[in-house]
Amino acid sequence: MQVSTESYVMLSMVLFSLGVMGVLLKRNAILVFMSVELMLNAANLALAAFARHWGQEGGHLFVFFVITVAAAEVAVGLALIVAIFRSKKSINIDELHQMEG
Amino acid sequence: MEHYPQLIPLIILIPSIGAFINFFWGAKLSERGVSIVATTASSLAFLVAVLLYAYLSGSGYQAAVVNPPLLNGWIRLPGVEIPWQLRVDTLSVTMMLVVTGVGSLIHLYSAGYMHGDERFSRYFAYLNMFLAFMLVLVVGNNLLMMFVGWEGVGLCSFLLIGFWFDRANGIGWRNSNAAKKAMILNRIGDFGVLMAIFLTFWTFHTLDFYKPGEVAVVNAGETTQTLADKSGAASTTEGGSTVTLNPETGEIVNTDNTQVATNQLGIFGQAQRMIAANATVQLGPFNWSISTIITLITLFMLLGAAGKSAQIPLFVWLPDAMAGPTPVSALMHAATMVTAGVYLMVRSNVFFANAPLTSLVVTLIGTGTALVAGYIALGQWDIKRVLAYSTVSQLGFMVAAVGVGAYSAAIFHLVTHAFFKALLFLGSGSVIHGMEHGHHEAAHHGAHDEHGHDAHEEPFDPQDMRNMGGLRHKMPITYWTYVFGTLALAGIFPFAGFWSKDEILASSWLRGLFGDSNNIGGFIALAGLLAAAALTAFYMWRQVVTVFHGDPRTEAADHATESSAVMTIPLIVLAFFSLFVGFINTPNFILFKSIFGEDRFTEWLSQSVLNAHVVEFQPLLALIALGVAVTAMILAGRIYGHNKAVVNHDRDPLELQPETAPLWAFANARMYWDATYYRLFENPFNVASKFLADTLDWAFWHDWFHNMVLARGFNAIATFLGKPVDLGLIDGAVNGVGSLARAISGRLRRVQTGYVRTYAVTILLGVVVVIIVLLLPMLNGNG
Amino acid sequence: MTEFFWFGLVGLIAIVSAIFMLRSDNAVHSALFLIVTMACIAFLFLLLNAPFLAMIQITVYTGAIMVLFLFVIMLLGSERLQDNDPAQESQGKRRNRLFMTTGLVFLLLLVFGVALTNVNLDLATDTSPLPQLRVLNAAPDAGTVDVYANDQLVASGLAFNTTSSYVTLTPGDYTLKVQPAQGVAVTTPISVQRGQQETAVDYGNNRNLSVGLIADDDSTVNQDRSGRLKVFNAYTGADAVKLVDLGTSLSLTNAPVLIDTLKLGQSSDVIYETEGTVNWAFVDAANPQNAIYRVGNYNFQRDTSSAFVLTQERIQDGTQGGSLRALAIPLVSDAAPAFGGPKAIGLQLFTNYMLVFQLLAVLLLASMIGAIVLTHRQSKSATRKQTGRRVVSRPLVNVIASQVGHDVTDEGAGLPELEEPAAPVGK
Repeated sequence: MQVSTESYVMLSMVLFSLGVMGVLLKRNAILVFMSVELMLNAANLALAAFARHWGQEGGHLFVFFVITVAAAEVAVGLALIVAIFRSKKSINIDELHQMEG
Repeated sequence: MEHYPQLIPLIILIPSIGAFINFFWGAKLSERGVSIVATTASSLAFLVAVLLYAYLSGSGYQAAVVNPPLLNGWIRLPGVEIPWQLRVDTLSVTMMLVVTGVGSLIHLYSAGYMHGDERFSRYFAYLNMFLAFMLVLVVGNNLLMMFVGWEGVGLCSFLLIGFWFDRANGIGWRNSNAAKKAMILNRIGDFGVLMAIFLTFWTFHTLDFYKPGEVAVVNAGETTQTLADKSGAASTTEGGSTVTLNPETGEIVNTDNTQVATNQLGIFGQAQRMIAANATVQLGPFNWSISTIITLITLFMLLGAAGKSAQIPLFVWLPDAMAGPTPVSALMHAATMVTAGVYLMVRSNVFFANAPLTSLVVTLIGTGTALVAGYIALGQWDIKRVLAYSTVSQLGFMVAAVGVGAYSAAIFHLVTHAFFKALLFLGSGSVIHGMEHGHHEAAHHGAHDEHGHDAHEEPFDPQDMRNMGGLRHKMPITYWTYVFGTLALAGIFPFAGFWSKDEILASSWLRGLFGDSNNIGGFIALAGLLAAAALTAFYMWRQVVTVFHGDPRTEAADHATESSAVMTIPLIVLAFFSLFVGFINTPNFILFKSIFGEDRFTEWLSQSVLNAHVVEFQPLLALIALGVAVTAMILAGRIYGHNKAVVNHDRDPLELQPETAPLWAFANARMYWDATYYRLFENPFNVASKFLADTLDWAFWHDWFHNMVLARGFNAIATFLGKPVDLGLIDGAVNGVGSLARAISGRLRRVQTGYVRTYAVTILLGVVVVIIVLLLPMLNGNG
Repeated sequence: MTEFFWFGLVGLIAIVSAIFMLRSDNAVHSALFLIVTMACIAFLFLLLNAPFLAMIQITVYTGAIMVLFLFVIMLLGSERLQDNDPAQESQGKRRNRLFMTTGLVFLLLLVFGVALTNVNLDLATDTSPLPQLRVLNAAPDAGTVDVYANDQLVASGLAFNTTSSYVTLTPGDYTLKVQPAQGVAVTTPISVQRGQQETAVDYGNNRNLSVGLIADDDSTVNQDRSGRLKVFNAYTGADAVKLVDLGTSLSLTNAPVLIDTLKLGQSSDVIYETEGTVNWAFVDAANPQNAIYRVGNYNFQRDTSSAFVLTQERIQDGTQGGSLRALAIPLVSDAAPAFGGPKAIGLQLFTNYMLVFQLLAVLLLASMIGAIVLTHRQSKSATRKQTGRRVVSRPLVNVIASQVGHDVTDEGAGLPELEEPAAPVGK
């Protein structure tokens, strides 16, 4: 292994942080969702790095699972956004605060 | 005959059964039935007394101590043994005979007197009950039994004096007040008796007069020739009464108590031994000599006798007790109950003989009472009140006799007095009855009197002597029996009172001359009693003249009629006795000794009373006494005869004469005894109790304290607990919790902004925290 | 070095693309930038020896999920949505949020950085598999043997030319004892550690038993289309043997030597041979023209690990006691699949992670249904009439209608008249 696992993890960290910023700063719901996907990808990267580091395929499998779950989540989440858009004609998450206390 | 003493419980049981029957079924029986039951009970008791007299006479005057069946022991504690024991000896039989004899006659009289009363059966029940208690008093063998009877007759006197407690016009109130007065003053006397009992028990550890088998009339250590109890085994037969008898009937045995231990003797035996030994008694921290203790005991007994036998200072109840029916007055206050005090003192003659100080006091009190009562009597207009004060005066005679040591004279006078005083009371009852009948007649059938108004509407007192007069012709039997009683009371030879009164005077004279102590007391007694005898004769003849002689002063007196036979027959019987009963104790005088024997009563009594001794007849003294009495009677006839009395506007001649007016007025006012007592005791007591009841208890405690302190305090506490505590504190706490929750949740709900981004930030924060927590050990450990 | 270059480049592209994604005004542009990022990540997967993951990433993530994103974006028309519109949000609030977010992200990075520099990335415990041992009975005259390792039974009743199954031992030193049915037991000390697979061979004829050990190696065959080969010499008939490849000419002369001089009781080094039908021969090392045993038309498979044990067998050919003949026993086992390859992934997925796999399938199904439900639109025209009456089956309807005289269902007429059921055709 020429490239150390730490490098991959750092890269994953940066991508993850970018994803976090996107989640927190974006008002478009779909953009928020995409930032979440970015975060998931960063996590996948870290997982794969560690799988190689330890020589176990468990990491790969976990990435597989994450991808599966992300797919399911995206399907449902986008369906939600579509439903919300139908009623509110906007996907600005700042307008979705009916459940406030 | 030797088993007659076993009958003695009957003498108490039969009147009790009579009372019981009349109590519970008297309302269902007719008047006739009730009176038959009661009189039969009384007569049967008299029969038993006669049988016991026969026994004593036949058995040589041997005393018997009987344990009644079914009453095994009374108080049985370690060190205390007070049994139900009845004593048959000459003294108790004498009292029994007097009580039941006079009582039976009075039962018979009451059947006529109380005719038509609405509580007829109850009256007879009370009378029988009284008889039962009086007999318990006289036959008891220990002081406590005597005290039971003492209290019982006090109760019965209360019940009977206040018998007409519901009469209208305040008369019922007056009657019940009189009953209450009697009870209270008796109670004061009872205190004395109780103290005497306590002291006796403390000193002698027993209350028995004489234990079974003890010789009664023996001086300590002396052997006498007198007949005495045989100290045989007093075994208890099964279910029957125990009698100690001389196994060989009639045999005279020389016995004494020398072989008996001191603590096995009765109180009198122990007292004799202790006096002879100059013993000391420990009372509290003090060691007192036996004579001091005896003096104390006898002084307390004197207090008791002063209460029951109406001496100074507790005699004021007896005149007021005339509020009861006349037969009651006759039975109780003439013949029996008031003599209980004299009986107690005579029974305790051993004590009194060895307490010279007390004997002096007794003499003085007796003499004083005789004089005071006699003086008051001559200012009274009520026929029964005169007799009441006369009773008090005669009781003073008896007590004075005890004081000078003439115990048998006291009992002799008691016996004679019972008969003629009962006669006088019953006679006055007959007079009152006649007056009432006459009043009734005059009101309904007679014409209006000269004053022009209906006599029926005026308040009419049938007992007031001023309304009487000339009854001699209207009620002859009553008149002649009354004269007999008066002569006996005045002490005119040969009536009964002459002999007994003379014996007392002679004893005082001899005591004054030859006595080893209390000489001065004897002389004082002699002088005083002579004066009292004069007064007695005076006021009695005054009464006879006023009531029976002269002309009728009212319509009622004019229409009075003789009473029925059921009332007059007892009068005749009693008149007979008033004449002849004195002859039971005739002294050695002229022919009487050969006809009636010499001092038979004293001999008889001396079998039980140690200090009863024969008194030599003093003819000179008797003559002086007789002369004094006759003179007084003639004087009274002079003053009051020929309607001189009360012609002048119902005023007493003595009242009109200026020399005697203040004296008479003082006597009429009863020497202000009652008024003084009222001022000294009753009124302060009433004021104090009114204050305690009205102010202290009711106003302060019930009203003020309860309202201010309790109610207000409670309300204040309740208000405090209700408002600030409950509403403020507790509700505040509970509501505060709610408000707190609401406030906190109000703050906290702002966390839920509804914005997704806020939630995302929160999640991110949480993630950071979790990561730090997870990585912390790594930082600390590896570095 | 090259790897790091590619890593750096692709990583940079990924980061830049991510930043562009965030800062883009157009949502479609953002999605496309994200696709670029995902592609970079797929490349990085390849660098990490995870070809399967790279495939999945491209196919599922980029190809399905991001396409779905694009569908929805275009469906909603939100590319027109101005995300950075200052009119929609006050400046102050936006600034505050930016600062807070940046601060949080810095904190996150700081934590991760601190963790990384201080962490030991290696696993705490050794996860290598426990040592395994099996026995091959290659002694023709020994009969059945029982083998014990420290009195623990490894194999019992093992006949000639049979291999026992693997027995897991705890790492340590053992005394291997081979007890033949006829003859004297032979012991030899062995030491096993984690990750080792050993095959013990007892050989020797005429009751002279010896025990040898072959180290099995099942690791991934890195050469393409090759298999691993090892030889153990249990032939007592010669001092040393050679393994030569006869090739297609099947000639012994100048045959290339695969395994050179191998003495008795020795196992050779590992060589890798390409797959195919091979003709090999074991020859006497001293006399190469003397073939001891021919391995002819042998199908040598790739990604296998083979160990040939050359021994003798006794055959009954009429001579007394039989005579010995050479025999090569092949012990073939599959080599581990390539790390990160689909075979390896599949191996794990369908054995250890089967349950999770199925659950995820259920999850996908649920999400599918959920998506359909959430986006289902009630069509206004197709409101069902709430009649409260069910449509009765036709024959009964007819019966009722014929009795009542008119149609009783709300569906109206149109129900075909049915004749009375004919009498059943019966015999």
